[in-house]
Amino acid sequence: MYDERGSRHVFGAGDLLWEAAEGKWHGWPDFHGDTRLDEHDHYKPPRKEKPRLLLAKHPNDPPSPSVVFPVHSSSDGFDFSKSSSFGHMGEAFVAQFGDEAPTTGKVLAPVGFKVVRVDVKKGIMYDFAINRGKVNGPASWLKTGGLERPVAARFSPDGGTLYIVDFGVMLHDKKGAHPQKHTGVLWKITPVK
Amino acid sequence: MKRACLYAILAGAVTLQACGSARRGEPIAGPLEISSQKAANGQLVFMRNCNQCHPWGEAGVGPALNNKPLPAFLIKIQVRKGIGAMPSFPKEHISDSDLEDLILYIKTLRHHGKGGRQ
Repeated sequence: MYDERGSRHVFGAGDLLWEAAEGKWHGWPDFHGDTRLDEHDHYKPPRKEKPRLLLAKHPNDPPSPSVVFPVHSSSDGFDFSKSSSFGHMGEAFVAQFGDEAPTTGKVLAPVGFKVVRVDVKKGIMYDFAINRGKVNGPASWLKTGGLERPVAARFSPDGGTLYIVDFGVMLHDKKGAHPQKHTGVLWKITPVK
Repeated sequence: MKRACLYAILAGAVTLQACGSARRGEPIAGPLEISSQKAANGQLVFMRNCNQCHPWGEAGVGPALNNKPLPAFLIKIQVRKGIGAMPSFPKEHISDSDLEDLILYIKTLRHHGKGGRQ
């Protein structure tokens, strides 16, 4: 949505999950969720000016998002659990591709690289599928097996199985992204009986 | 001078020696039990304001919170004043009452499944 590239840098604005409100303006390009981009120093990049608003008039106060995802998590494909056999009915399962540092900004630790579930009624997210270890990160970085870059999450038609599309290894350096051939996989997650 | 001292204290606080893993997510440390309404409200405040840079109190764009013994009064100062890249959260954004609940939640999270199931 926003980041520290281009002509107007916005710091610390994570992806949002909305319950879309029909006919309402949802805030782009002057709000992050229901918060103005010029509010206090919330979106001010270090050692730079805070972002300026672009619209002379706002159609309405934007509605509040269901949840704000971690900055740079790249929260992508999602689906809702509709089956009691899988559990967590009504919650959204969201694939987080993971940060693309340093191309898109700095992080102190890997962000994303997992699947989260979101209780959209309460506005709380929980880790659901994530690699083990003292810190989180993609399997290639942890030098273990496991999740690399989950990009989509979909339930089977009967709702009892969650499938995760894992893009595979994509390395980043100052020159940009370097996807690695033949590393993508499809994960299948079923409840333990 | 007063401000310089404050920032020196905060800078020292955020670089406190980390103690063990910061991981507190459900697959690693098990479900988090929220025992009071105040802690539950603190969790909501955390999700709206903190989680995006400190996912579940772990490091992300910001440093980990779960494995540092930062006392409540320093958390309050840091939230109100901000430090480094962290923005400030004035009272009209996080009320005093919500800040108390937030600190209760951070302490709950900090002590949850300490070390985690690796």
